[in-house]
Amino acid sequence: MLRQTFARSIRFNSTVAKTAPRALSNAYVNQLEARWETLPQADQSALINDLKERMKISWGELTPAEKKAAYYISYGEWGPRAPLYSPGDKSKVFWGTMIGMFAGLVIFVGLKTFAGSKSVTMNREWHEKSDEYLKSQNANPFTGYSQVQ
Amino acid sequence: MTWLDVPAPWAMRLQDAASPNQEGIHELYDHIMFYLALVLGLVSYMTIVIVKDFTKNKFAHKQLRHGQTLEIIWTMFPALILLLMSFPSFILLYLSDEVLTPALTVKIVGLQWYWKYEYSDFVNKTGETLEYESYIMPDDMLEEGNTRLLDTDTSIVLPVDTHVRFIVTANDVMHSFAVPSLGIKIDATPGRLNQVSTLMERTGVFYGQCSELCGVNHALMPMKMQCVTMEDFLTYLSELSE
Ligand SMILES: [Cu+2]
Repeated sequence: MLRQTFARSIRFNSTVAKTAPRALSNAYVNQLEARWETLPQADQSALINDLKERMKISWGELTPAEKKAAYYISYGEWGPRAPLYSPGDKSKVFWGTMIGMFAGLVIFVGLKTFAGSKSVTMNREWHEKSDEYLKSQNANPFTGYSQVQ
Repeated sequence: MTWLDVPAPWAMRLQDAASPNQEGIHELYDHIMFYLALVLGLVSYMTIVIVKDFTKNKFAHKQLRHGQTLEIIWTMFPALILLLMSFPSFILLYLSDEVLTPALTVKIVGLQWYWKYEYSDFVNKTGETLEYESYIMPDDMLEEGNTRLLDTDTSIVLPVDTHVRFIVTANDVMHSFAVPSLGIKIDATPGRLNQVSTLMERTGVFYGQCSELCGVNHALMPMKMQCVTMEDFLTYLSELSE
């Protein structure tokens, strides 16, 4: 209580008190996030200056609308702090990836379908014959081995 | 573990050694793997400790900005490890390079896309050096049991337990003569003779593939080497010189 009285008396006697005594109208600062980015440059800087002046008094005395506006200008999601993805983007990326993967699968299956027949060597009898020959040639004499797959 | 003279399904690691060169490579591999395991163990231990007890641990402190001792340790330790790996590596490298007293010389010429082998020490009845070409077996000429993309129509035949020198060159573009079981890989460069030697310690068949990208059929110029007893080798030579 005493502190507030004290603060008021200081403000009354200071130069700042005379430049920003009145709260900015609600119509001026309300719902700023909805229209901030479409505001012309001149209006933006005027608003910033007005709020700057207002913020020279005790911040506790700002109206909720002013506080919100000031916070939004300094830390809100606009300009460099605009979110990387808008809400629709994530599903777009997801479905793009899905379509890409599906296309890959289609190409793979298509190639498999129209590909030539397997090589004549790709069967068990052939591999067993290979084993026989290579074993007769001492291939891997220490641990033995097999071509069969 | 799969050790092979020929590539096989799911084979990993090196092929079985058939020459001192490849034995040396196996030994060096094991040697370096020891240090690799050591470093892997140390690094993962430190990482896990730092991640798990991120506030109180022996390795990381949030207020640590500079440490003379630390810097010395993390410079000297890797340097020491590298040094310990480089010595055996260089010893093996220079030993493999040595061609001392070859009893036999074979000239190997790489061409697009086949190999030509010349037994420069021998001549046939008309006085020409023994030489022949070696092509891959095409798929439609394979006999059951042949290894596809590895078998050739003719092979290099060499005697066992004999110090053999290869003189390697090429006629058109660069190729590379490589036989993993013998620990050999040497560039075949046009206008240049490279030499390498080997001593095969057991009879058998060893396969290799051209190891320098040399054109569209680079994959289709394998080499097949047959190591036989000295008697068989001499029989082979006399048949060749008919
Ligand atoms: Cu080649």
